[in-house]
Amino acid sequence: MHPRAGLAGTATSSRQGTDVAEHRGRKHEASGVDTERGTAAPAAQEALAAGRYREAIRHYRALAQAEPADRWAEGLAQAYRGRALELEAKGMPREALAIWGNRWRRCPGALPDPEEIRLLLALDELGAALAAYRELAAAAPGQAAEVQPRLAARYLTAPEAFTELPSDDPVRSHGERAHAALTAYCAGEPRAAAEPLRAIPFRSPYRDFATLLKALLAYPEDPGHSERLLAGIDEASPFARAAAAARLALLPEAELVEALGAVDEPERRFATALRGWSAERYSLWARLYRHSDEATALEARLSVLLERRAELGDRWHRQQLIRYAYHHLPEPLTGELKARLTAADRALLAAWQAERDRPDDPEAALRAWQRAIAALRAAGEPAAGSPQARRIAVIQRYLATALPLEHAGLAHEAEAALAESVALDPDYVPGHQLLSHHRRRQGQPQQAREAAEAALARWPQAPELLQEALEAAVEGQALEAAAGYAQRLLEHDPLNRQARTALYDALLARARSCAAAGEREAAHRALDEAAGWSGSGAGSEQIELARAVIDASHGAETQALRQAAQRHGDGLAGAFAVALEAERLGAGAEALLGQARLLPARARPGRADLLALCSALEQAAGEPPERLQRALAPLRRPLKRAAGLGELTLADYASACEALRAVAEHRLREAFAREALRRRLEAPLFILHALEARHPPEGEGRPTRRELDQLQRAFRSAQAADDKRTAHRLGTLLKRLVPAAGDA
Amino acid sequence: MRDPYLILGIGREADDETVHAAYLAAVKACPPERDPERFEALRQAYEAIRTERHRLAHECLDTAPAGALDLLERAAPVTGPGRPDAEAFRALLRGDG
Repeated sequence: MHPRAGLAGTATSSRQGTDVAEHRGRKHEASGVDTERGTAAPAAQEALAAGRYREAIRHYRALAQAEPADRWAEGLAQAYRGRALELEAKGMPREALAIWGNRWRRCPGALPDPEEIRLLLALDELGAALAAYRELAAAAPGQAAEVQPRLAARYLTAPEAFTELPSDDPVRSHGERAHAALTAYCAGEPRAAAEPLRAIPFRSPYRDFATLLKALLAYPEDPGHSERLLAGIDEASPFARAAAAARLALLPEAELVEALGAVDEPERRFATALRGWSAERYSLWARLYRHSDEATALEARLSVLLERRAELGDRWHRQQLIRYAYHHLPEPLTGELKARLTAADRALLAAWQAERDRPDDPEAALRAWQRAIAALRAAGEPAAGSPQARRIAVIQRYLATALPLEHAGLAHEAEAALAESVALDPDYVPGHQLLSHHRRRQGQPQQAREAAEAALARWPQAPELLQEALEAAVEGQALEAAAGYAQRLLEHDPLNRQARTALYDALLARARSCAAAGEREAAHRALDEAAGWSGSGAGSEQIELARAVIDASHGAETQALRQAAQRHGDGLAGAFAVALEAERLGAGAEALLGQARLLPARARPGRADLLALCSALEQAAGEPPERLQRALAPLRRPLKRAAGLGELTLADYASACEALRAVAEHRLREAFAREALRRRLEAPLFILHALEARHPPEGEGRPTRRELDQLQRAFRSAQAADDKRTAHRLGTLLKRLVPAAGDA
Repeated sequence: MRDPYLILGIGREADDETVHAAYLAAVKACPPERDPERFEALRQAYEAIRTERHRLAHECLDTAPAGALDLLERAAPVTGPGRPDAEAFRALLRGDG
């Protein structure tokens, strides 16, 4: 114990007695110390400088026994100070305090140290701290100022203990104002608090306190200002802990509840008091958040849910109970829990469980949901548009859109659910739209249009309904009605490209169908109408091409056809456009190309021509494969010649291979790939193209051992070159081909 | 996701207008540039209950249970900010553990 402890009010006291805490072997110390003055003094100084404080103390004490003690008092005081701080840093504050006591006794003239006073305060030795402070303030006011903020913090907790300080001491004189401000703040009188705060000077031991209180006065109206003020309080300040607690109160609630677990009780109390937490909320927080693992946390949440029914509200309580049951509780529910739920709650829970537990059985989920709907109807059929009817409609729409009913052969159930949702919730436009859309997907464009029309009678300008009706009309080949819907859509939205495109596509399709049936006039009429909706240069060119093909196939002059072909790219690309359109219109591509002299002569096509064709092939990849094959047939020979073009780069070969792959033209693709391999042996990409084309998925040929080895090498090579895409494609091809090789 | 009603600070009986007003007020108090996470939570809460059909769907189809904070908010809501008493202050200044 520090000898000053218990001497509050005694400015001077006897510096007598024996050391305490000079533990471990005094005899050894005496015998181990070189008492020869000549060597002891340097040894003491060296130990002190090196931070070997225990050794320094032994040397200095030995010196002090041989010579006047005050000669060595300063060195001994420094050694004691170092040792005390060392012990405190090791977490031994009481032992450190004993060393400070030894310093006081053994070092006449040594003033109390600010660190000593700080430790006395930390150990709640307020009387001793004040005694030391008074002694220090009288002799060294500059040093005493260092410790004043700590005394200031303690003044605010017990001002009556400071009456023996001089009345002009700032700890006391400023403290009276600070205490008045604090008292007013805690009493809920912010104005009364602000006034004494203003009277505290900038250079005051209460400066951080004043900042803290200003931050609290700004909370919660101006949290940004509070935060800035609190950030100005240094971590070493005696007010830092209160500032940290106040900063906690600035956190969003979700972060606060988590952060509270990491601080001590006083900080928690302070922060939650600022947030206005009741004692009830505080104890509930402790119950819900202070858990070591998720299992006990869940248990706590569940017990709160079960116990606090009244505070939580019956409806919310039940809603959460079924959610906890769904996620966490064993089945079946106990009688007590079950009794808390209504029949509708239990049916809803059963529907969720059916959907979760039988993901491959949409019918089971559907039936469970239907039972949930029946439970909602138990009290009577709800009136259309009522909340209960809308609740059922929400479920019906969910059934039709989220469960895979169509894939399970339950499309009619989805239709019934959507029809009922419309009947129960007739004010909901998307419900009508869903019903119409569902019918279109089921190949019932007429019924789809009826659904859309029924809704349009009520909302004639609703764009989503008009679009739905337009698409239903197009699918049902009711093109005049479709034009009407498109007109209505475009009146309100002239830039609606979707409407224009739908109608243009439908009219073009009708023209092609008429041409294929030999109805040339009807085809032209449809093309005339389509021209009004084409909206772009490409659309007009397509119409002109179709017109030219229809006319040429009926024996007309082929000049217009050649011009139309040129607009699609001279050479191979133009010829392909004509051939494809001819096939769409039911006219023979080869004959028409010959008639119009559009087949290239024997000369090899140029590089630009080939690349234009590649681009056209990519665009046509969605056409039926047979149609593409027939359209490409007259072009195969010139294309094969193009494979040997000297001007082609490897990138051109890659483009050609990809385009030919897109239209499943395997032989030509292999030819291009082999030609590329002649230029770059073993290039992984072209080995892929060559072997994939040679062994297409639908082909029956088996790869040879040599081909598989080649594929393996290409795979490794692509991996080594970090060509991930090619490596992936080669890997996929290998997987497909290797079983076949095994068979061989 | 946490209970969207509690995130927006509104009751179960709130209508579209109330939900919208609560969302706007919350976003104004906590704009995305200040706290993007909080803003995202507000936005998700708003999307979940912004219309009556959304609210009904949330009630019937959202199976997520309330978390600890939801229970806390619901069972012991905060009525407004407060202030620590003198003893709470003294405990911190004394350095109580």
